[in-house]
Amino acid sequence: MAAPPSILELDNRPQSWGSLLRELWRYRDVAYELSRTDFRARYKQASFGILWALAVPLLQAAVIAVVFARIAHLGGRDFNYPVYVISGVLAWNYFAMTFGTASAAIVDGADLTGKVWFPRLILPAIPTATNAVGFLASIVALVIITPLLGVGLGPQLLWLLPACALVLLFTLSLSALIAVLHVYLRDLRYMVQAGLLVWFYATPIIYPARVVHLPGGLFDFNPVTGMVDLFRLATLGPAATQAAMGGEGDITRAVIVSVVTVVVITALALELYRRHDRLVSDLM
Amino acid sequence: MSEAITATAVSKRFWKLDEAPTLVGSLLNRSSRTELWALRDVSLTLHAGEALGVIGRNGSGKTTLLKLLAGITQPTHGRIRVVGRVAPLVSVGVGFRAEMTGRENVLLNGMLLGLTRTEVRQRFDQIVDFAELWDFIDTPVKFYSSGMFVRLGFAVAVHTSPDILLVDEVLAVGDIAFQVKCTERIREIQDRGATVVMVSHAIGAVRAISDRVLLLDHGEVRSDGDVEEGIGRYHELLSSDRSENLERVMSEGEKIYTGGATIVERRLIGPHGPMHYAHRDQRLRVEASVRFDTDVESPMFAMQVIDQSGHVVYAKHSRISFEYHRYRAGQEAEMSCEFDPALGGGTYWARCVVLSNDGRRILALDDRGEAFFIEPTKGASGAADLGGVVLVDGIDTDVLAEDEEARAQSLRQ
Repeated sequence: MAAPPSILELDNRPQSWGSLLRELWRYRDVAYELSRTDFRARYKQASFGILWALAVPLLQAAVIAVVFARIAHLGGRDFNYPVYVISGVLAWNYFAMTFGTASAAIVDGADLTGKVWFPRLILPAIPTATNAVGFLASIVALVIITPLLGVGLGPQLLWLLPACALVLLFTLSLSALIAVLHVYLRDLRYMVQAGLLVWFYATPIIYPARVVHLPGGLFDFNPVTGMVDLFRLATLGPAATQAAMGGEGDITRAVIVSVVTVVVITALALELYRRHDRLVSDLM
Repeated sequence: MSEAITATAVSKRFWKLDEAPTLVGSLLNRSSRTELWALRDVSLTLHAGEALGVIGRNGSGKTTLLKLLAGITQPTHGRIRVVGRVAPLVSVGVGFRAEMTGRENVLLNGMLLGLTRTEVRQRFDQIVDFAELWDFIDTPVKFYSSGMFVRLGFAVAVHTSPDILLVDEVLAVGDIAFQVKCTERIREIQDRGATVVMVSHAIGAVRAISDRVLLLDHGEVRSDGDVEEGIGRYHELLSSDRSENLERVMSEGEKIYTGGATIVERRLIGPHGPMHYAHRDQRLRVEASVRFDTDVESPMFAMQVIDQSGHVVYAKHSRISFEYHRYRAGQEAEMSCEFDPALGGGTYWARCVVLSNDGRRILALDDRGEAFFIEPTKGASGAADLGGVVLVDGIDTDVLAEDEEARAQSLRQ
């Protein structure tokens, strides 16, 4: 019964790494409950609930696949363009949709942060988690659709696991980093929206990298390239993926860039939370 | 007794920004900011089981202190140590989602206040009982009235069985019956040995709960200790705020302030000595010492009671038959006025005025007035308390209500 009393000690120093991680662990149930509530609140009004989260990105991917294949002739004989587009759009869509909301989550959560303490990292984590449900469901749908579009599945499908993990971690860490910066720089919200628009076209999602001849495999240094590449590797297989990338691209290099980016951003974000976790509500 | 809360030389600085901070703004070097010390060098030790009322004017740092104790923000200088489970009642219904039902919101809110999922489930029935909301517990809270919303939020908060309860103004909401229930519940928590820190403008609520008062002004501790002393000094601060306003009111009409006498000292006396808190049934007396600075022929002495908006709600002048009385420069006079504070609940100021013989010139204005608080009578509202009694079918409803409360009390014991 008599648990050791919890002791809160505060001064002007940043909290220690240990305390940062302990607090996150202590509040895991709160994070789960907040995410669950967010998810349920979001889909409560829609009669088909989660189906919408699944249908919208799939429909969007399908439209792009049809339109660009017919109009821009972006496809090719050596890879399946619809599967290429759908796998890329699903990953991008999750990232962009989540990042847009999550990077403003701390500012938008001011009514919570001013009234009760919990690690602020939870706030950007909530949309990351709730959107992940629809995202993972859409990846299941991708696995079902791929053979219907004429691409045989193989053991390379296992690449979906690291692919999803990488996208989730990238989304979480970048959202968390921007969310805390957003408190101090309120115009980041608009920069994020503008940035996402440019970023979408700067990433080989609707077009294969080989149609845009960037010198030195520059595409690979965009951290999202490695992630969408992994999704293509899982569905289209290595040969077709490499074909779409063209001679300049190197999938290993792209994935390494992605992983390193995630590690660096995560470290930066944690350091920022360590210093500002209990200060962000001061500026609300 | 063990220390529950220790604050050592705590200061908290906020940056006051002219506009929202932006990247573009800082690149253009356009952002300007001024510092604002919400707390300066505040030290405080609170033992387990103590109940502290924190009072002060708006912007005195009360809420900042509470936020520091709740761990929402960290101090700029100094150290804070809080031992035990804290229930921050900084506002009711934190994290409530309008589209979710009462049931779902209780779970989330309880967890945000530090309970585990199992603990919320165990206490769920008690919480809904307390809020008296069984009929609506599966209704989305967006259909709740504000009263129901507050009841549910408060019910969760007071069922977290905290070691330390932080309360900010929440008692000022909800209907009177529920406010009484909340106060009782806070007392129960206190009786179980919990430490309570309560921030409020409602002096009545502070008196009902605290056994110690901390008065903050501009972020500094002005008084820490005796409840009456703290409240008295708070009222002094309030009246110094109003002095300008009062002077304006006095100079309205044909009266002009000319000076000629000074109010040296004044006191407000109740049945048991000096006081700042009264019930309408108690008779109060204002006493003042007046010193004349010039020779004055037959002055008029007056007592006025002023309400929060600066209006004179009552005034009494000395009788005109007090003529032919002459004061010389340097001479002193003692005046006093006894009155029944048959006023509606709230804060008032009693002050003394010395006027010229024709009543057109103000010789001395006790602009600081002596503040006092009138406890509201249950079921009564308005500027005055005329002691009304409502009979229904010949039954006195007040007596009925008291009987019911007594019965409820005996049932609990």
